[in-house]
Amino acid sequence: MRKSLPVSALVVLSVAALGACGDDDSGSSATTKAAATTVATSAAPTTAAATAAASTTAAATTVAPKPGPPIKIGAVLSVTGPGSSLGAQQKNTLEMLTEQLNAAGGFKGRKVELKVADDQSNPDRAVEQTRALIQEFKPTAIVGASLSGSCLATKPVTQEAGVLQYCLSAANIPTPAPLYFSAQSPLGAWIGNLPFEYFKEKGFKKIGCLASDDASGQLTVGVLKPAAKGAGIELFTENFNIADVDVSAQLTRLRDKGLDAMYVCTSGTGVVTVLQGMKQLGINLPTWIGSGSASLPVAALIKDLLPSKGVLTGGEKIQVYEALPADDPQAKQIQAFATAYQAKFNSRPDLFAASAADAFTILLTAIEGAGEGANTAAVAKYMEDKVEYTGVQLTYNFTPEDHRGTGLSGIVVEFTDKGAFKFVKQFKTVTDYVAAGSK
Amino acid sequence: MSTFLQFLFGGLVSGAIFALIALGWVLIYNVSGVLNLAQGEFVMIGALVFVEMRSGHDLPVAVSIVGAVAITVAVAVVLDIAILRRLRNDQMVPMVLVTVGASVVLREIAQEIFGKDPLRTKPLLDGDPFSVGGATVLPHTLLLWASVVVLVALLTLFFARSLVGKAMRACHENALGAQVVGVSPQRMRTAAFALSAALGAVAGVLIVPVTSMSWNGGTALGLKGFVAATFGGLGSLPGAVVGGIAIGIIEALAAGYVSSAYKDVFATLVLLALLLARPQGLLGASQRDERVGGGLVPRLGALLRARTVGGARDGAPPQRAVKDGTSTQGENT
Repeated sequence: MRKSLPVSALVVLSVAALGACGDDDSGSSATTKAAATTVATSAAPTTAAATAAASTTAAATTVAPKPGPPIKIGAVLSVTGPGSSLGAQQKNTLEMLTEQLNAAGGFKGRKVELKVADDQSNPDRAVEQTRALIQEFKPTAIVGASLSGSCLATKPVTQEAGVLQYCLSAANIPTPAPLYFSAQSPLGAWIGNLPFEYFKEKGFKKIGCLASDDASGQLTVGVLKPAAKGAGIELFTENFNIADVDVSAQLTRLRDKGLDAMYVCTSGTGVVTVLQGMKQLGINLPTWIGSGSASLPVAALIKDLLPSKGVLTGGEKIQVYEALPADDPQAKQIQAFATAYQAKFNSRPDLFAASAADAFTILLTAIEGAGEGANTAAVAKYMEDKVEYTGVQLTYNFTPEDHRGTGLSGIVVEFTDKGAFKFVKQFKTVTDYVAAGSK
Repeated sequence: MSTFLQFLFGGLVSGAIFALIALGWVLIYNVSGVLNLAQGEFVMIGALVFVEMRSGHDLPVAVSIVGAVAITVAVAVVLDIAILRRLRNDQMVPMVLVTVGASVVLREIAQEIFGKDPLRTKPLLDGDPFSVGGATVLPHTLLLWASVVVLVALLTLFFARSLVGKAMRACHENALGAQVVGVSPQRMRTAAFALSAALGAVAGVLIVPVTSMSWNGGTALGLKGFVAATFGGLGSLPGAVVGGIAIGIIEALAAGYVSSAYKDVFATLVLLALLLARPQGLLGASQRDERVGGGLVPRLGALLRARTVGGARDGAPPQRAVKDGTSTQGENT
C-alpha cells in the first residue's frame, strides 16, 4: 500500500502563500495555519530509526512533535556556463523553497540546510564540486546535476560515498544504481514518441530533420530514426554546424523532398538559424522543435520567425500554467509554485525549475519519512516503496526498477508570437515508437 | 540552376561574415605579428551591445550601431594599451596567450552584463524574401552583402590613401624602418586593434538578427575567421576577403551537393590541400613562391626531399610546413 503525500503539496501551497505575503494577510495566515495543522497531525516525527521496510507503513504517531536534526541537501547545478539557463532556475527554486520552508518552521519540524555548488556546465568540475560537497557539507542527498554529462560523471562519486543523488536531466539510466534517481520524462518518449504521435494523427508521411552536429542534435537524430521507423514515417536528415550563420543549402535539399513537416533537431541558438533559413526559402510547414529548446528564452528568441503553420514542441504543464483546466490534478501545485516563483524572481519559472522543485520535495519527503538516523539505502527504499507524488512538473511513482518514476505529460504546446507557449492538446497515451522501431 | 544559386547565396552569407572576421585577424597580424585569439569576442560584444541598445533601450538603429562599434573598439583599445603594451616581452607567444586570457575574461564579463541566454533583435531590413533567378534572398541579406562591400572598399581606400593606413603598412613591411621614419609600431598596433574590433562589431551587428548571439557564441566564429584568413594567406588583406568567401561557398556547395554531415570536413580538406600546395595561402606573399616553386608537385617534391635527407641541407627553410616536416623527420630518426 502506498502513502500519498498531501503534505508535500501543502508545502508548495504555503510557500506560495508566504510569497504573496503582504498582499493578502487574512488569506496567507489561513493557508499557513492550514499547513501547520496538517503537518502537526499527519507528520509526527518518526524517531524510531525505521528502516522503512514495508512493515513499518503505519508511522509511529504517538511521539510528541519535537524538532529533529536539520536535513542537509546539497546541489550541484550548472549555474553558469552553457547550461546556465537550466541551472540558474534550479538554484533559484531550491533556495526559494528552502528559505520559505525554514521560515515556516522547517519541513515537518526539521530545518532544511541547503548548499548549492556551481559546476559551470562542466562534468569535470561537477565531479570536483560533488566530492567537495560530500566531504565538507556531508549532505544526505545531492540534487543535480543540471546536465546529462555532469549527472553521469558524478554518479560514481555519489554511489561510492553512499549519498543519494537526484539528477535533474533526462539522462538515460540503463540499470538504476541503488542511490541514483533521475527527473524528467524519458528522453526518447519526449523527443521521439510524442512528436510522432502528433505527426501520425495529422497524417504526415514525410518529415525533414535539420540537426546540429553537437550532442543535442545528434542525440535527437538517434532517437528520431527508430521513432520514424516505428511510426512508419519517412525521415530525411541534414546536418549543420552550431556556429553556422546560414543553413539554406541544407534546407534547399530538404525542401525538394516534399515534406509534410519539419523537425528542428537542435537546441538554443541553432533554432534561430534554422527558422531564419526556412523564412528565406519560404518553407511554411508545421514545425516541431526538440524539447531541449522548449524553454522561454528560446521562445522569446524566435517569436518573429514562426512559420504560420505553427511551431510546436513537447511541453510541460508549467509552461502553460495559467491555461490549465481546473480539474487537472496538478493544477493547484503548479499554479502555487509558479506564482510564488514569479513574485520572487520576476520571471516565469520553466520546466527546469519545476523538476528541481519536485526533486527537492521528494527527497525531503523520503528523508523525513525514513526517519532520523536512517541510512541512505533506507531513504532510497522509502522512495521506491512509499513515495507517490503529484508534483509541479509530473507525477512520480518509483519502483526498484524505475528510478525515474514518471511517464510523459503528453502535452503539445505551440510557440506564440509573444514569446510564450500556448496549450495545443494533451495525448492521454503515447505509443512507444522508439521501442517499436529499435527492434 | 536555381538550386545552385540558392547554395551560392547561402555560401555568400557565411562567406561575407567570415571575410569581415578574417580581415580583423589579418589587420592585427600584419601590423604586430600577434594572432588575436579574442577576435571572435569582438563579434560577440558588438552583437550583444547592439541588441541591448536597440531592443533593450529602444534606441534608433543608427545610434545602436555606432554604440556597438564604439564600445567594441574601446574594449580592444583598452586590451591593447592596458595589457599588451605592458608586456616586457614583445614575443609572439606571450602576446597570443594574453589574447587567449582576454577572450575568457571578455566572455565572463559579457555573461555578467548580458546574461546567459542568447539575445537577438529584428533584421535591420525586415520583409518577405524575394526571388532572384529562382533562388530567394531576404532583404537583410542584401544589406549584409552591401555593408561588407562598402567596408572592404573603405578599408582599401584607407590603406591606399590615409596617413595612418600607410603607416600601418609600413609597420607590416619593416617595423624598424617604420620606427626610423617616426612611426610608432605600438600605436599602429592599437590602431589595428581598433580597426579590427570595429570590423568584428559590424559582423556581430549583421549576424545577430540572423543567428542570435550569446556570451560564448563568438569564439567559434572567430576561429572560422582564422581559417578563412589562413586560406586566403595570413598577411594578405585581399586574401582574407577571398578566403572568407571561398570557405563560405565551399561549405555551402559541399552541404548542398555532397553531404551536410561532412561539409566541415570537406572545407578542412580543401584547406589542407591548399596549404600543401601553397603554404602561403591563396593570395599569400609571392616571394616565398619563388624559393620552393609554386604548384602542388614541386611542393610535394620539396617536402619529400626534406624528409629523406633529414632537412639538414635545407638550412633554415622559411616555410612552416617544411620546418614541421624536418622536425618530424628528426624525431623519427
